[in-house]
Amino acid sequence: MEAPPGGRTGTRGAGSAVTRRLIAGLLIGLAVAGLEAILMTLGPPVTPGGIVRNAGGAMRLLAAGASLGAAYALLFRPTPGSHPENVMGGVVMGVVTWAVLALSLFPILDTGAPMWHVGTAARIVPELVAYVLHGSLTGFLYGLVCERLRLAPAEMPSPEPAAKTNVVIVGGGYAGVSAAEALDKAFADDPGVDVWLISKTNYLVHTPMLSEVSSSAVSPQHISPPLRSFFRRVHVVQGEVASVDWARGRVDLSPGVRSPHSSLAFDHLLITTGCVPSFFGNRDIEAHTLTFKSLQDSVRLRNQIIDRFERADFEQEPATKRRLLTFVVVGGGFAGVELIGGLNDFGRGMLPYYPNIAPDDVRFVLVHPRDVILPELSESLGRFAQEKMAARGVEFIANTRVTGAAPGMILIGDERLAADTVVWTAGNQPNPIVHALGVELTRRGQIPVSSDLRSVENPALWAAGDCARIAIPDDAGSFYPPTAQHAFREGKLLGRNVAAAIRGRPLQPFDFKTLGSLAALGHQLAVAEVLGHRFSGFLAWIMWRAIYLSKLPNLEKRLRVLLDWVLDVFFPPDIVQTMSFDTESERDVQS
Amino acid sequence: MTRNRLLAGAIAGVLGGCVSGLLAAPATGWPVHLPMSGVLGLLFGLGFGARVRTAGSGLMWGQAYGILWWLLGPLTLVPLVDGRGLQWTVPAIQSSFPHLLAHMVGFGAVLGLAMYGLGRLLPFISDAAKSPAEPSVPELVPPLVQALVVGGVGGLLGAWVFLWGIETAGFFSVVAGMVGMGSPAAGGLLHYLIGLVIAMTFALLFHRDVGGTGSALIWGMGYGVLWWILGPLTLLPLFTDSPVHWTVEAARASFSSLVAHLLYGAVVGLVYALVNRLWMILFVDSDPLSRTREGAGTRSVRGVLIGQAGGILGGILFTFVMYGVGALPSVASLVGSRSPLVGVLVHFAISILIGSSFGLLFQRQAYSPGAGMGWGVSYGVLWWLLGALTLFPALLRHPVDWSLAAASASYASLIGHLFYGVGLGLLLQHLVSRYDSARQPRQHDTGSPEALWAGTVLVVVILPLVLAG
Repeated sequence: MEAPPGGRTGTRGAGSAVTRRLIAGLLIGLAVAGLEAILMTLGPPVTPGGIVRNAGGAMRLLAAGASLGAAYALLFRPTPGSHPENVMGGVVMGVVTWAVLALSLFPILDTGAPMWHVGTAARIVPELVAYVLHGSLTGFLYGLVCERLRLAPAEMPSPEPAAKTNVVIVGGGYAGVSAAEALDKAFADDPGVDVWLISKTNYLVHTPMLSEVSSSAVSPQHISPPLRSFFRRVHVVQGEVASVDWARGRVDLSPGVRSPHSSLAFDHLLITTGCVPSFFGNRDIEAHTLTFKSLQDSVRLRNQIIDRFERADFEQEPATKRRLLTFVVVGGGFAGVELIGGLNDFGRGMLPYYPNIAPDDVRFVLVHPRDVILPELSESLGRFAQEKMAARGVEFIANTRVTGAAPGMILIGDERLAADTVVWTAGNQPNPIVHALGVELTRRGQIPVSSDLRSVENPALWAAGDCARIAIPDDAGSFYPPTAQHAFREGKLLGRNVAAAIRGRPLQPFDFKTLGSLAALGHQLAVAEVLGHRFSGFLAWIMWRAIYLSKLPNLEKRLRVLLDWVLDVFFPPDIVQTMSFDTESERDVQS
Repeated sequence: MTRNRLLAGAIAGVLGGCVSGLLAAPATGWPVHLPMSGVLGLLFGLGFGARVRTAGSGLMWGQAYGILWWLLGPLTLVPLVDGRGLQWTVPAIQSSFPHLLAHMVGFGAVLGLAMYGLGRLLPFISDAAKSPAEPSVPELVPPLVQALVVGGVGGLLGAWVFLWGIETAGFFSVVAGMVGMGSPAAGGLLHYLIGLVIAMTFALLFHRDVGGTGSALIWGMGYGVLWWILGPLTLLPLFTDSPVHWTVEAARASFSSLVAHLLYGAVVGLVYALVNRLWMILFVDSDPLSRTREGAGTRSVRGVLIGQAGGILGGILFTFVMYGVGALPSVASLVGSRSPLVGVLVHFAISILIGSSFGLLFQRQAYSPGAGMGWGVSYGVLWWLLGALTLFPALLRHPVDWSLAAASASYASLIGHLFYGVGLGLLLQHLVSRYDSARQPRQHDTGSPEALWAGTVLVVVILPLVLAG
């Protein structure tokens, strides 16, 4: 299934051309040094004792000549007809070699002290002249030889190989993008390998900042760099995979995909499709709650909150008003906690614009099936978060599960809670697209891969990120968690390992220790557990912002988010509603 | 075309031979000197003629060619032929010093300019007029207006920097003497006027050669060397009714003026290119119709980061020299300490800072490792002048001293700056090419600066040794 090695002869060819040029430079340097030695014997010695009046001096001259020639060959690219440049480049090379060898190395070897002071350096001015002339002649001859022996095709593109190796990556999240980046870098100069990235969106979303978008703290575009900005050679295809044909080695794309191809050939198929929300089979909840996994989800949620405030401001009926202004997040993990903290700040920050809404009219509720939120962190941090957020107006309904939903309400245990906006963050499952692969999956629907991220069942299949099950070394029965920091690193190794497999090199196992976790709770408040140390409050919030800002995969986006945050300090929240909501859901509720 | 270039070169060579012979009596006598000049011109036309695409490039290639022939002719081949042996020692070079200046300015510069001029005047004789170089820095307005405005601003700033290490009262009186006046005020006015005019000529001559802000700095320095020879060593004596003395003594006496001219040139080049760059960013690159994949912001920040890495490597190489000559305590004195360890920290802070500026200015011009090294050592030389000879004493509240004695005392620092430039330039080029091998700078984007590096670096490295020897 792997492409024949003929596809990668370009790299070896370039390597041997460099070696030939290096040998040419070395020999020319030696020849010029020999000529110089003869010249020096024609007249009186140029320095007291003479450069070549003894065997040691002659050897040193030859060594210097060879070094200069080899260094010149390494540093200067020969291009046809560039003899003037070669000559003058040689002059510079001569000055530098004089400073390195004649002023520094040789005196240190002889006397233990360099000759960097003007008094001592002036004694070896003859060597400076010699090195400069030597360099210029070496440059000239080197260019000539390279031209004659055709050693100067440095700027010529490599020929197209007869057979190409195709790598197809499915999924444009952290794992997919970091794998594609690694492959882009590995095969930057190798036309024998084509890399395709199939992604539902044309951007990478920085998921830790989704709640910042929902709470209007940053603009959606600012946390989502376009995929095309990452790569030089990777082909980005916006669309989804419909099926995989292992026999033909092709992936079929869904209708309407933005690509001239309806299917793509592959030699290596990399699955990095991540997770989608899991409703545990409850269709009512799926139908009547919002999800919070994508940028669209985030933007929609922000707009819906503004929309409900706009409606509630003129709503006379108290129950309806209460329902419109009740915002529920289900799930007390990182996503749910960060979301409810951000929404609480956003909603309460909007109140000055809505004179008919009192602070007590607005409810932000977090429903969690356990006693303490943030089960990924230490219990003390979870309790800290709960206390601080409650003080800021967030309501917690603990030890309770959401059992059902209908338009305008949810069932919490046996209790009904009227709420127009309910966000589901309580469960995830691998993207169902993995079922189209035709390989055996784990009970949770993940692709089982070995530690080198290659499928145990099919050597052409690789997986990383939330959709892959990767065992933790030396910890039997445990697997890496589905977090962004793992997905990013798994993807990076995935790209390197695929490149290694194509080149016939050994694969590396994935071995990563979790650095820590952070959760923002609202205004200048966060909790963090980094390398076993716990942080909370303002310091943790600074850490959260600094770390996630630095993790934004694009400098421009980092600056834009930073600017958003700075402006957020000085200006009120932006309540522009960019999405309209039809009244269908409203009618459903009333009926 | 080759025949035409040979002819143009031979004519230009004879012309250069006449000028150089008039300025410094030819060692071989006129009957040999003039035909030799014609032959050398012919060789220039053959080998270097295609590089003379602008007046500025003609000037720089001619100057560098002149220096090379000074090394090869009066110091090597001529004495070998007449049995004196190689004349490479300091006393021999000192006695041949007038010929260095004659080869650079009288012969080389005239040769290059004449070659270009012949091509423009007689299009059938050369291809210079048929394939004029595209301007590297896009022309915003007609070159004359650009030269008057941007060059003028750079000239005034450069003329101000020129005075940092010069004793102004005496200098202004000497300058005023050129127009028969003795008032320092008149001298000062004339100094700024001359600075303005020279900068305008820089803009006119080099506007098609400077490939970016960084390279413009070095082009300016190269032009500064020319004006050191033309100004204090040639025109000033002529205007003050003194004989032109292209001697070692005259050069020693006006060494501080050499440093001043180099820094003046760097400022002129920098301002010229910077204004152009800024204009481009604000009004051209920002146009959605001409946007590139990356904006100036991303590119600049990456340049700074890459430059910092280069600065660290260069700083490590420089540290060997610092340690070797025991200069670390004096570097530490910048922050009021004498500890070598503090000296190392201060030294690295400065190295990183200068590296950042190098990355910002030169990231698009290092088209090969050799080019990275060429720009790096040239930038190292600039920072020896600006840092070791100017800012370092100024920050320690000592008078800025550009004399030969001060430069000689600081020669080890020049070697350190060369090492620094090598490390800085090579790593920058490596990182730039590693970032994006498909889009790394190409040679044709940056003109042919090899002659510029060769001329500038060689002059700055060799002159203190020859003059102080």
